[in-house]
Amino acid sequence: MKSEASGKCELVRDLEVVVGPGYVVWRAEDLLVYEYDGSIDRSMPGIVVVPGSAEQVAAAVRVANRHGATIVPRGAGTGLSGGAVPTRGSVVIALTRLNRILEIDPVNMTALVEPGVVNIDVSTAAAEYGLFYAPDPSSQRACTIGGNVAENAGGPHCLAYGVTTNHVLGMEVALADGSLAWLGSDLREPAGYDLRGAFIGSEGMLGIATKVSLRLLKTPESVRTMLAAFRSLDDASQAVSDIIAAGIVPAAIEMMDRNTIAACEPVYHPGYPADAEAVLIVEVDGLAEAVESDAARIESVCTQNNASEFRQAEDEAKRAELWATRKGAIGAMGTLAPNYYLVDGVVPRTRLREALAKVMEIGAELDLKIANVFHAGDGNLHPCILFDERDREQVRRVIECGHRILEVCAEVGGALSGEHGIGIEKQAYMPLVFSDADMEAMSRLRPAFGAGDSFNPGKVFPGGAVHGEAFGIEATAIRRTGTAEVV
Amino acid sequence: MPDLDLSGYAIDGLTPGRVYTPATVDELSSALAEAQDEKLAAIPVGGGARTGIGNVPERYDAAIDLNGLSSNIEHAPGDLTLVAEAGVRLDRLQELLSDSGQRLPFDIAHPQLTTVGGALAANPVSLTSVSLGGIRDWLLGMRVTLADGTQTKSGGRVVKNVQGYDLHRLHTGALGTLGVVTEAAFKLTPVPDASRTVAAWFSSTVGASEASNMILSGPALPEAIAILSGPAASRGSDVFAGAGAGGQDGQASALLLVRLSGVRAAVIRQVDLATGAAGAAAADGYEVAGADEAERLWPLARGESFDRNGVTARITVKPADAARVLEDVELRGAAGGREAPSCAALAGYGVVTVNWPAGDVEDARKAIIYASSLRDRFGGSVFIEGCPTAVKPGIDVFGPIGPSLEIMRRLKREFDPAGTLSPGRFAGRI
Repeated sequence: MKSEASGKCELVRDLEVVVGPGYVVWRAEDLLVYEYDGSIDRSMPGIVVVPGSAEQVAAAVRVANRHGATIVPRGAGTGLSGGAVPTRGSVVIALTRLNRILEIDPVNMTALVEPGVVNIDVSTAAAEYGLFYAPDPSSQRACTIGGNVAENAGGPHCLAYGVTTNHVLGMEVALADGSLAWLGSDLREPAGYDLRGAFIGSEGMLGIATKVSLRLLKTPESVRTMLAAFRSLDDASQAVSDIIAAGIVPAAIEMMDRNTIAACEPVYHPGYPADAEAVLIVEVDGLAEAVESDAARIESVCTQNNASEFRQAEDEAKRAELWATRKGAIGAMGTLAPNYYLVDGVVPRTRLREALAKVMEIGAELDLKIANVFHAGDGNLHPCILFDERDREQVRRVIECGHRILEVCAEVGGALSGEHGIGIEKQAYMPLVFSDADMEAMSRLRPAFGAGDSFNPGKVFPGGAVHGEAFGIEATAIRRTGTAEVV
Repeated sequence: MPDLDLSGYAIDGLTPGRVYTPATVDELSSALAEAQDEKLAAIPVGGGARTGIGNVPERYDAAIDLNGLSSNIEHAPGDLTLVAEAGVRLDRLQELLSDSGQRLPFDIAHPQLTTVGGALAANPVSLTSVSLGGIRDWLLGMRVTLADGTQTKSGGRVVKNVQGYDLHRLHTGALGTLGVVTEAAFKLTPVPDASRTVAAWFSSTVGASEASNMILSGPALPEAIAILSGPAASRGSDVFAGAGAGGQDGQASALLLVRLSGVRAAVIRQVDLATGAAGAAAADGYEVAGADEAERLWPLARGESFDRNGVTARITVKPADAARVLEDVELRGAAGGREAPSCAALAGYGVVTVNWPAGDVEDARKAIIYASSLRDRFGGSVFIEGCPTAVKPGIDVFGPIGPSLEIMRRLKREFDPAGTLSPGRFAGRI
């Protein structure tokens, strides 16, 4: 065993000067926990540094620069596309200590938070002022605002409220040269180019957010959560279309299929009808009269589409119970298989039925079990492929399945990702929707932000990293379908 | 090429030597490639409602008239989405959408003179921003032709997409300096069942601000809420002349407009909340406007009555500071010009637009100096949306940007290294 002194390289010692010796992780066994995020990809970091302030983040960037090391920012590691996986032995800058809510301004309805603040903690802190932060990824009890900004995270309530980019006013970022700069501000309108909008969703490749100014909303005075069970997936999909067609944009419309219901039943005991092929959770919020009227219309749409059961949560406890099942559904997949692979793709909501049918066809062809639990109102599919990672051949089929599902999304004019980002997982699929010229234009942001290849190398663009490499997958040639109807 | 009268394309007193009128994106690509080859400075032009925005162009050799790019409109009512070409006019678009009970919730001045591309490039503030955000909040994706003619796209046309960098947000508000928008995809929202406007008039902006704070901090969720002062308020009170708006001299100092929309029962309750707040804030009077009256009132809040030959400044501050800005303009704003300025403030959003009627160059300078002083005293940003060309060279109409200006300069170099597109017009004379 190496002695501590001899194991430390100069980079470690320089980083220790910045953050203190307790906050640099460099022993191989300690680094292991930073090898993963929520995806199946993994890669060992060189060093992990855990700064305690924005200035320390910037200083750590400067130290890494001096040593020619690349940097991978990391929040809670809940990302699902490999965004926080430390490619190329990078220095990981973990933002877990930057977890302070610096200010809630109830009059201007804003919050200033550090990037390591857990998503739900913002709403919890804002609640005493009758305010909340709208984007609510299903991982909101763990995921952090910095990660949400990097991935432009969504969540069930994005249907009515929009995604992260609609709720972030600005942020202070550590740039590649180790300086700190604000992009946007705490005002409602940015001045100059919308750098804020360009930074959000750039997957940690342009800089590291060190403070984020968030827009808060008034807590709705009334909320109604409903559950509708259907004997066919088609009826449930049609109900979703009909709700939108009726001119109602609920706060959320979530769908769970039979396999998801089977996974949830033993864990949460929601008591769904035994013959249900699909369950919808629909939530409306806002002014009491609007909620009353929308709820009545939604019930009638569901009934017309042969709902076998329709319930309204009569109190907050019942409401929380309905959501616990939905938000915990992915976790419950553990009752069905040792591993799951959560695909994230989007189709126009009018193509939901057809896309779901194709997803199930692909699963059957590849002999894989798929459970669907997703944001139906947005057309944001989340086929959850169940597998056992010890079976390498099965892993290969899982990745192929994910790829083919995204081809379906691209073919019907949809998107490769609704909220999880591209990361390592989908970079090879980017040509399904984007031309070389499109991607070349995007890549111009990196030199403009002074970032070059120093932040999160090998992400988003094709050829950077290989999805599934840890399972022996080699780079696959992705064909262009030429049918993608992306504007 | 025959000699054409291109004076209609003049910007800040500069008239281009040629105009391109592409009817297709490929024609646009060729035009831009040609302009770049010949080292011309080209400025994209839309409906003309906001052509005067920005700093004086460094050079202006060619206009690129995008009104011909207006054939493609793809409305998918079941998906609540829309794809439209850059040259499509907003009024035409809204009319088409309303047939399906839908709308793009982007409520700005002169929609009949505003194209989709122009709205994106100039990014004017929507009246409904407080409730529905700006055009960028409804934008899903974009097609952009770069300065060298390369056609690119970003985002998508489905309501959620996180794929690649959001270049479409960067082009929004960039005044065509990074590329030419040729097509955009939007999400839409249903037209509300019912909509009512409450108007309340006050002897000063203080009362109007107090009432708007009461409304915004209560349960009501106004779709739009604006405070007018100066001549705009007088014009507004004229609408209610019969109801005695404005007291003895018939001229209200401040007018509060509140639009409540949604299901009928919710609108009725919110109307009560709004009129209640007006009463509690000692309004001189209030009315629930009829449809005709509302149609005459809201254009004032959009700034449609502003003198386009005067000085128009858009001040963005924290929402809570807007009341102090309004009060300051009411007390001291006239010092900047011969006449008292008009104000239209978007309450709860922190945007106050001030318009001084046309005077001489010295008046315009004073107005700009006063407007800029608001930034120093209240924080935030001051954007001179419009002013006489004569005073433009001495100022940056965007105001100071701060350290991130360096990133903006590098963006310009990355996207338009030859300086083909609207050189000098943007913030920091980018």
